[in-house]
Amino acid sequence: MSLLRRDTTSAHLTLQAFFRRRIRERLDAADLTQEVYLRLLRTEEDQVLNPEAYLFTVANNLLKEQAVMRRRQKQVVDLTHPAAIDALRAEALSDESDPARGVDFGVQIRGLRSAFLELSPRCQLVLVMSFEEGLSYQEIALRLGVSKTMVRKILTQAIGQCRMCLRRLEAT
Amino acid sequence: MNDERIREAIIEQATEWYLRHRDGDLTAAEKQEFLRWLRASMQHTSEYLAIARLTGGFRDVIANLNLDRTSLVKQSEYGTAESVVAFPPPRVYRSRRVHMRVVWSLASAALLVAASFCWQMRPGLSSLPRIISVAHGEQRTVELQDGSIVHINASSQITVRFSKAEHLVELDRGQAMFEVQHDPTRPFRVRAGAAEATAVGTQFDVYRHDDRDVTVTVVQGKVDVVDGKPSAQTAFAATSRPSIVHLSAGQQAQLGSVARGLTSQPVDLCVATAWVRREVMFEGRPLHSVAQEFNRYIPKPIEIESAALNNLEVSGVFNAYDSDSFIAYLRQYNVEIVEDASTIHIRR
Repeated sequence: MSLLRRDTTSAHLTLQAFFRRRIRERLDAADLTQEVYLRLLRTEEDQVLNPEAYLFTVANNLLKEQAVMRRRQKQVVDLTHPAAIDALRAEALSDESDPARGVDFGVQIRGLRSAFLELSPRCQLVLVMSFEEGLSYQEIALRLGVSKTMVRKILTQAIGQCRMCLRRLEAT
Repeated sequence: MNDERIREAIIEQATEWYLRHRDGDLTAAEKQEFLRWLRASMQHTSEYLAIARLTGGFRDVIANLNLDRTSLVKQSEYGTAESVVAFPPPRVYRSRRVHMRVVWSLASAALLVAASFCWQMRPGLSSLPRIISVAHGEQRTVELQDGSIVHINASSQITVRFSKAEHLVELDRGQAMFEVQHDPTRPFRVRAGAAEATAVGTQFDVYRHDDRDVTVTVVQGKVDVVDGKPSAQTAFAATSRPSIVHLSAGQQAQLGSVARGLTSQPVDLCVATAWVRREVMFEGRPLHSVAQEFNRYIPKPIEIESAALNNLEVSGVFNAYDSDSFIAYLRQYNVEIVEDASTIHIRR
């Protein structure tokens, strides 16, 4: 049972790993999401065989494009002019957002941590068993003495509550 | 329904779709249904991405919490004794059957070890050194007892030595970025070979190339870097290099044979911290050093075989784990690329 589960989810796990590399980027940032969404709308429905893989690929490509554009924008400056170099350097030193960009992972981890700690003990326990110990619904159900449907329900509730909590944190 | 209630419903749908993907293969019809759901509203797409991002962080968060599973089981009112047997958490992905037998037979031993581990990790007490190693091609983020966060790069190892008097982390090899929790009573020190960096509430990166060559880059706040072992030559020469430098954000200190002692200069933080975003970023850097950088992450090393290519200057941004696109990029330089079972050879 659990072996089967692992096989069928391996594709999803690979995607997830691929996606995790990008976790520190604000993938749900409004402007980026808008572009992802527009590209989803532009594709023909029957062309996409695996929509989830497609979604992550589109998002990832956009992030790469942004990185390249950031570099290009800097290179447009006439570097033969000493003043231009000074201006660039001043910008690099003063721009708070640039050093912070990509390295605000600590903040995110702390946010998710406080969201996790706000959950009820049973939500926490099911998340630990499912995400950290990698147990199947069946195995969790056996250990807790509840039904598989119940395990799935608690998991949905736990993730949803974490997301709501993070939204509140982002809003402040 | 007000906006918040609608959002709540969308979050529930997104979670539901996310778990369905995680549970297993969807049928072609379900996939099309999912695509229609994504396209129905931008909020759907945005929440799905947010849920995927959030769940991707669970393992790191849980691993760093040192949760007391026994009391969690008790509090959750499901309390069968069996529920705690799997502590410490199984991480082994082999046959579940064999795995369970091992778990059962080791259960009591594991609980004992866990108990003594928890005792030693109690905050406030001097604890045994904690060694964290990261294998080739991997990266890890861990939270230390004081709340500071360390991102550890591939092929690196740190030893954490926290006591009442000081917070010391030794960078045994490789590279790590520190986000230090502010604590005026206990400075946070990182030792890497001869170099020692001291900080109070800041963010900085330490890269130990080998015993003598170390770079320290400050992203935020201020850091003092000390050369712990100034060589006889620099110590007595009239124009000796300083044995301490004060760095602020956007500055990098270099210590070692190339730098001849301790030096500091401004640096592009976007490039210096690219590894945390799992990117390799370089501008006008010699090809051999870029290849060296890639080789920290990818399974098959790149070898530059023509001396003429070594100093070819290249620029770009690449995913650190995607050597293919880097190789594709190199083709424009008119090089010959030969890949065998163990190595990617580049020559002209």
